[in-house]
Amino acid sequence: MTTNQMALNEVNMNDQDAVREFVASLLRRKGDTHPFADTDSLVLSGRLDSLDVLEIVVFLETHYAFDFGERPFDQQLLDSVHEIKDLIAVP
Amino acid sequence: MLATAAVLFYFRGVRDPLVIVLLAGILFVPRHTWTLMAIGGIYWIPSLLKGGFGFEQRAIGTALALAAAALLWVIVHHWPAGFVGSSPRLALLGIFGAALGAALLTPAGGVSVVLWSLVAALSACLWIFSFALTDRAEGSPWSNAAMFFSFFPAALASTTPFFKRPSAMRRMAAKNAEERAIIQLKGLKLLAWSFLLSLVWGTLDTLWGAVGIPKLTDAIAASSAHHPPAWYLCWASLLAGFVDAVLRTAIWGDTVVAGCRLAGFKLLRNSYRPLESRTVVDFWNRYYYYFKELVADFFFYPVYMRCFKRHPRVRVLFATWVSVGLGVPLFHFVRDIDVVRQLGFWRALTGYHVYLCYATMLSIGIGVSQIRKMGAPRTPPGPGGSFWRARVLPISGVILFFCFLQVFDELRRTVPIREHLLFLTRLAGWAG
Repeated sequence: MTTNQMALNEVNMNDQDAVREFVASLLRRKGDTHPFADTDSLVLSGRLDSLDVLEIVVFLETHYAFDFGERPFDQQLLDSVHEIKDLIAVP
Repeated sequence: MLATAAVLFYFRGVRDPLVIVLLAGILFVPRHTWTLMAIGGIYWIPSLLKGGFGFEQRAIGTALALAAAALLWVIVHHWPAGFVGSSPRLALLGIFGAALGAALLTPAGGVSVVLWSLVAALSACLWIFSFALTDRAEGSPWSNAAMFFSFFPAALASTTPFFKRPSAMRRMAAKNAEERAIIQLKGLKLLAWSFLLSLVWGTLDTLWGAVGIPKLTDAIAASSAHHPPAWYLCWASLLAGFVDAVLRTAIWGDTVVAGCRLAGFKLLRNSYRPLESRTVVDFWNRYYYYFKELVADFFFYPVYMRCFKRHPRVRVLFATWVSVGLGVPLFHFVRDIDVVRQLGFWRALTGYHVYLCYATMLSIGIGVSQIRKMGAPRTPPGPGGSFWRARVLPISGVILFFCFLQVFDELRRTVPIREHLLFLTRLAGWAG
């Protein structure tokens, strides 16, 4: 593995950790301390509501300069940690 | 399970035997679930058309609306970069507006009836067509038509789609036989719950009539005629009207969700403990979940993602005003398009001022509540404060807000706002 690949993996891992921690904090605020996998549905399952979706949007805009105004938005894009990470990965 | 569902559906007013035939098909031949749901859903669309149309007129209107939607679907999928492909919702609204304009301008006669039946069919299906047209996932139009299953026959008809996009529907479908069985049992349980709630509603309705509490619309009419009920009866009418609305929405929504769960789809409940809400936005989320989702999807997110990004509070308030203050009235204007046929366009529009006031006040309440909630610390809810301060006061405040608001929740368009304001003075004991 090259140094660049290692650095990239590290960044990806940090991204995933940051997203996961943010989502966990949203769940904790609602008193939801149940564990969740990265692929678990959070919005469609009702664990996160539309107000939480807004917080995730602001989080992505602030930390990753993400602009949802440039593409059609659907809550499903943010349904799981894995999907949020996929969004960040798309240039 | 099927027999119990049939009995419960019967007592809940769903007496179309096709519901049970379809559920039986889904239960015994689950691989044909989507086809069966598509057949049922499309079969029920004509029952959604308001306006006293005959069967043939309903069928023609439905066929024309489906043809228009199919044409748009083809354009969106073949030319995604064009105007229709990039803005299918605007294109659909444009078709609806054009059909309405043509219907208003055409002299009474055969063509006019056909146009009005098309307008009625489009008004019934506008939002579900919009969801289908904006779904990025691949899927055949036929399987996508299964979304219509959430309409159910006339007794439960609504223009609010419960399944949203076909791709969301696929995610909610049971993944295996065991999961399907669990979801179906939950559906049966929810159906029993909606039946119990309907008994409570019937008992309360009888009780209120027996002790002389007038319906809110009757109380407002009596107030306008200068024979207002006593102030305490006005208050009782307000509270009874609120409880009535909450129960009706829960009973109806739970029955629809129960049907979808019996078909093997893991839908969230439409109403989930709304009377436990401690904020206005929480109540809005819990009271009528699928309508809130529709409003968020069509109006809130597009505005929120594009406007006032550097001003977080203004951003939330503006998006909420557009979605609730304008989007909610637009939804009801489209839904009740038969009123335009009855009253004429101008009267139907100007008579809408009371509901526009209602929507504006609701948008302010929800906007402020959202800002307060978003600024709250990200810590788990604790026991903090007394039961009185932590629960009783906030819950009472939310109930009081929605009680007052329903005075203006007027869709008839024939009662001017001064009558509603007059009723508010009756609550304060003024009987002049």
